[in-house]
Amino acid sequence: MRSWFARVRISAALDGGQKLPESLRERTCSSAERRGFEQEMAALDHALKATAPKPQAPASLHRSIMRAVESSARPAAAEPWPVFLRWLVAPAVAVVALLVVWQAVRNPVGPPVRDTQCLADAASALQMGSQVARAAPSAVVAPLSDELNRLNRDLDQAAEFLLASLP
Amino acid sequence: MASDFQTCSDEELARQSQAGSLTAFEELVYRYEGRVYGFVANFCGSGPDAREVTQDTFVRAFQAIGRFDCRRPFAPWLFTIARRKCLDHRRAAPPAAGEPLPELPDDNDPAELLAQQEERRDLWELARRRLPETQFQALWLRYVEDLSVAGIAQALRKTRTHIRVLLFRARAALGRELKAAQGTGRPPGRVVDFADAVVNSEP
Repeated sequence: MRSWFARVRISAALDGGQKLPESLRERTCSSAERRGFEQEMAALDHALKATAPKPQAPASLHRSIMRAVESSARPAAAEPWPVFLRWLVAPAVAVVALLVVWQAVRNPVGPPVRDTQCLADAASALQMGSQVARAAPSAVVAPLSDELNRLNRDLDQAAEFLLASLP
Repeated sequence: MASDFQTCSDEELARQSQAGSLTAFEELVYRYEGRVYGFVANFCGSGPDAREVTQDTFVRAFQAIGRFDCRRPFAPWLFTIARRKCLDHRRAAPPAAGEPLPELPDDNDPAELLAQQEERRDLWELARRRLPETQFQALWLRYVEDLSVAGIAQALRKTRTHIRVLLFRARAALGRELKAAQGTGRPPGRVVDFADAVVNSEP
């Protein structure tokens, strides 16, 4: 593993155009294998540079590229706002804020109005449920006594909850 | 005007293109069309496909030039676009299902032996055929385009450490290929001669 790291560092030194660190240089000199690797890499680096191809574009490519570029619509850069509009933004925001404050001072929000109709509907529903449970004939109710008891308990709890939630 | 542009750096030309100068952009096209075509041809094959991808690369670069940061080098930015266009092209036109798969090499086939010898005559052709695509791209950008490790990392969307390892693996694999060529007992090709000459010329 250490040998692999040493090889990567020898190779990376070629890419950075740097000299090997002194410690690695000493270790490389003391190992014939690493020394051989360094020489091989340097030779290959030299050969790759010397034989690097010089790519040539086909003759008509330039014209077709420029034709395509000219016909392509460049996304229009966002037009900057005119200067006077930029200066208008801050006063406009200030005026809107002042209006909101003035409106709030003139017409303060009152306490919430109770919706008595909703409460009355809920109370009548609870009462009806209770009456049904009590008025039903015992022959009908007897087999369902447990369920009726639970229903009554639930109704009571709902009533308590509604009363507790009133402001 | 054109001679003025010839002395400008790529980044200066990009800045003028951002300001709306089509002539400045055309100078960039002059400088890079062959390089981008060469890069693209490795992955799309030279011919109409490479032409089309090269053209798309410059059109995209023209459309996006407003977002280019002129304080950074231009080449990695352009090769990033070129690489993306190659990937898009490949995605859009995958190899046909009926296309025959490449035959496995047969060491006893004289035609294959001949092909191997031909292949070894050119170091870059050997690299293109034998290395994984990302390793070859890194090698190409390093030696043909002379990009720094940071530039290659930007173009290939990888970390610098990853690029260093890719370059290490690519060179090590090429070294093994050259050694194998020497060890086969066949008459060595020009690449082997050349690498030997380079090794022997090193102090």
